Amino acid sequence: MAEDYLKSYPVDQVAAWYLRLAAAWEKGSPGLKPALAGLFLRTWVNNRTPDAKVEFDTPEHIRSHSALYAVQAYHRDVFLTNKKARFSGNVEKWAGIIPRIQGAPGYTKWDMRADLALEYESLCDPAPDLLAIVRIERTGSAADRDFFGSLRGFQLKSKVTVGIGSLPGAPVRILFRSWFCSGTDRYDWDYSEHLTVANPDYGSKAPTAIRPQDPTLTVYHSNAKRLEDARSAAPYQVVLKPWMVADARLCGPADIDIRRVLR
Amino acid sequence: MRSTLALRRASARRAAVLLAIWLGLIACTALSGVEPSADAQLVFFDRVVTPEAVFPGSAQRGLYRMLPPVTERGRRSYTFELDALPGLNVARHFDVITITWTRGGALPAGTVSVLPGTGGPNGSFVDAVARTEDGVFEVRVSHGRLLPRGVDVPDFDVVGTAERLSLRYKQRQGEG
Repeated sequence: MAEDYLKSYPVDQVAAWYLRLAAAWEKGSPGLKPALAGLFLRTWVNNRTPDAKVEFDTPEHIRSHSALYAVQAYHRDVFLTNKKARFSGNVEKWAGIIPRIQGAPGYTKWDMRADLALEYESLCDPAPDLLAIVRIERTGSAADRDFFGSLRGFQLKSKVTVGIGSLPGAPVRILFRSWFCSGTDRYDWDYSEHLTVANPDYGSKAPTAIRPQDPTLTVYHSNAKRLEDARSAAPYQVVLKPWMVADARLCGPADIDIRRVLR
Repeated sequence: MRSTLALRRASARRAAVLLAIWLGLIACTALSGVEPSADAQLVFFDRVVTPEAVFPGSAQRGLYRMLPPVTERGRRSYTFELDALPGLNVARHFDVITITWTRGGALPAGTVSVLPGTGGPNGSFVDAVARTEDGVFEVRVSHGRLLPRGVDVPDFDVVGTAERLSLRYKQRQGEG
């Protein structure tokens, strides 16, 4: 069992250590603008309100990530009624454009004259299983690791406006007139868990350095609770501000058969 | 007759150029070492990276299983993952160690360095990198972890492991 060294240090010293850890994570990925893992950790230490909603711009390395694209592509299929939407309670059902055109129960009928606004939200996880974690560790880029560290499992929302690109008939051409994505997550710690990090104080001569003789430290999240109880840090709601999606693979037109029988 | 002679001279020149290129390639290969993807080199690294070399203590070694080594993008990687111990939520928790050999590197030969890593509430990665004494290869030891209370796993020394594997590389080379 690895030793919990942090527990023997005063809260203020541990809070300062977390800030140095955040800075090291940011400095370790200079190509990322910004590295979210470090930014999120720093925000946690500086936050004092557990119900705070903190807004972040979504950096390019997240917006262009293949894991995010895969979820957006699924959202497109849901909007176009190519795939069933997943809802809480493990329920799957048809949603999107076709049930609205057909006036299916539970949907407001769409007459295809005015544009239609749709939104859908689902889980986006860059590492849904152990194989993905192994891949990130083995060959993953700094972007992959930052995505994992900051947003392993968050809610990605797509809001689109669609219209008709041809006269009603079968098939009908659907145009995506606009597409915006946003995200939400909770930045908090499971106090019963622990992990290992590179010690930002390794080799430091500062009198307040923590375990400068150790290149790595095991961090028990009971220390995060200690900080939060002392109001030296607080969990918060992560809000990824909306950004416009312009990828032609997602926003390109699509033909749908509005007479399709949905079962 | 003159044209035949010219042709012969041209082919001789071409042959000489090809021979020079071929000899140059051999010389380059001999000087710069072998890619980790070459068969002989794979066998060599498979002898360097063993469970015994990564986990000197048998108790710790018994907790991990080795995945089949892979060669990707010119890198040879060996991964060890923690067995599904009681108390582990396999959908969330993990403890994975990866050893990766790459040709060249940015560190001075014979040195080791620990990298800043990254992480968050859902897990972390930490890495140590060692450059072999001959400067030909770099070995990266990466450790990813998120574990719950009650799963008692000894700490893993990424720096010590990188140093040890770099030393084993030198020793195995000495054995020919």
